[in-house]
Amino acid sequence: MIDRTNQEWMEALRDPISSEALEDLRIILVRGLKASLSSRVKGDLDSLVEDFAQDALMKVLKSLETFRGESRFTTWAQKIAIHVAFTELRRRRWKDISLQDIIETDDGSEYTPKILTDPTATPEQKTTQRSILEMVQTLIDEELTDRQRDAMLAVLQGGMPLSEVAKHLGTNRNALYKLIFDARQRLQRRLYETSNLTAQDVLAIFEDKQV
Amino acid sequence: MSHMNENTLKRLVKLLAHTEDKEIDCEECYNRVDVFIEMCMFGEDPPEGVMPAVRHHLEVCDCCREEFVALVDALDGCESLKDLVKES
Repeated sequence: MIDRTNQEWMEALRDPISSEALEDLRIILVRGLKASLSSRVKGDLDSLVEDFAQDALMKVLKSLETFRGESRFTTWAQKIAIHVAFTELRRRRWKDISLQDIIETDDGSEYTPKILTDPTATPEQKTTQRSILEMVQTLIDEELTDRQRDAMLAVLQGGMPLSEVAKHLGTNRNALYKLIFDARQRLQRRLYETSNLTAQDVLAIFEDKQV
Repeated sequence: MSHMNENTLKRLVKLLAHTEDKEIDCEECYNRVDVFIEMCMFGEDPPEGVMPAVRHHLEVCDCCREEFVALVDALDGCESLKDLVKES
């Protein structure tokens, strides 16, 4: 395989496209995707990776003029391939699961802090931790919109990817990130106002806990 | 109204402690993550100080972090690069 500079890759992939360069890039993408996905997916990895590599090649060619040359061309192309693969894997994984299923799935409708039984925390720590967790739950109920609450539950508790939650809410991944970011900022501000604690205080209180 | 369970609340508390006044979104992170990885892998500066906004986004966004870790694998990058970006 020819070792190409960024400029050489760009020239080879512009019309008329060099079939040799395209095949070299396909091989690079397949190799990278296999390394990424071998421990993450079950089933026919070769077929899956070939499909993703083909889709990624199309996207690379379509996006060619957006490449700014700040990284190696092959790193940029592999980033696209990973994004193509994970977008599709997430779509397949979550396609039959509704947002309501996720939001209503809970490990207990009643909030009971098991932290009280944590043997590594002192009684004082336990009390403080419990107080903070209860305060945050109250703030979630009182300060967030239904949409913010649903989005946070689906993402943080349900583990649903942002892109999939966004589809259910009729928005996009960026806008959803902003929605949750605004919610985090509001909760952060109100938590510190209410508790008179700082971020460092909170982290210290929960230090060495599995978070 | 559905409530968060204990583990989610604990994670949220930690996330709140790491919430910044300004954060980049997923698209901006995606646009810069290839440069971030190469600067960490081949740059002269210590990786801990490289592109803090990208690193922070990767720490608070599970989806972007998942793709970042996969990209490190694809590039045959060193495992320590994954440890650079820890879940918040």
